[in-house]
Amino acid sequence: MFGFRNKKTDCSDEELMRQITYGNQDAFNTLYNRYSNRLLYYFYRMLGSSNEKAQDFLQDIFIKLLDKADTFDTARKFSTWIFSIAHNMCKNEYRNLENKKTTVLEYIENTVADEAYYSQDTISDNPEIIKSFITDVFTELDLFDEIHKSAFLMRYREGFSMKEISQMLNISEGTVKSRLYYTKQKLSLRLSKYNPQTN
Amino acid sequence: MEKNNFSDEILNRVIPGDNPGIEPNPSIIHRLNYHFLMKNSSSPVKRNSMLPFFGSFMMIKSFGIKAGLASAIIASFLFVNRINNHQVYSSGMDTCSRQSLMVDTNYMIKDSCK
Repeated sequence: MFGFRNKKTDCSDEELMRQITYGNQDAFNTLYNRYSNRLLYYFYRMLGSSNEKAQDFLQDIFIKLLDKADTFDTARKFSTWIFSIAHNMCKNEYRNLENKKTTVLEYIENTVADEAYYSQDTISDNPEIIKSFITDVFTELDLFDEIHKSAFLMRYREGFSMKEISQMLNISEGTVKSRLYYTKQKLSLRLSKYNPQTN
Repeated sequence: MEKNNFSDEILNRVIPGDNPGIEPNPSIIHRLNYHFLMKNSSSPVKRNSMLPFFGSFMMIKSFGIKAGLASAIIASFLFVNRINNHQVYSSGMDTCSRQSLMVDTNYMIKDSCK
């Protein structure tokens, strides 16, 4: 009515972080609302589609955020900072679980899909096939290590640039590109029924 | 080989549309807000928030200004106290003096009758 705007929702993530260090609880709630769904999805897909684990990790990452708020450099982009923490949490979890990535990658190399083919046009048109495609993609992604999976999610789900992904995963841009290429190649091979060009 | 892989265009369109039907548990934000309050209440910055003020007040720097300010505050306190004390004592002294005068007068009257 008087032209007032909701200041918290207009604030940048970095400004909200600065306010959190001063003890502003509203700023924290705003930041939580912005990132909770994105991070929950990331954890869910990174941790074998386990809702329980994803919820636990979501809580843990925001506790880390509160505890480390004063170490955050406001000149840095918040989204890359929080996702790099999320990636490190998953990395530790993978280490704890002693993931069987070598045997799995060998398994991927030696297996060829032999099901019916769908054209790429069909993937984009038919909701049932899209759903089935997504389910198959994440089933296959669960067989990759955390860097391949993380790079894939950060690129195609979160839309981060190669440079941002390289900062978050602490690897070079070239390595990010090759990891993504490798992931796509293996997925295309494994899910060739959705991609007739592979045959 | 690139032409045989899923295109970025398809992945960029399909993957963001994935909705596994999960929502953050509402109890998480309550627990986080509690943690936030606990953290802030135990923060050394909050606990000792008066310490920097007293520290800077006791420093030699700008001592003249601080001494002047302190003496002004003390003088104003003394002045207020003096006004208040004067009012209290004056009413008390009035009563006392009246009583003593009455007694003195009575004695004098008795003495004169004898």
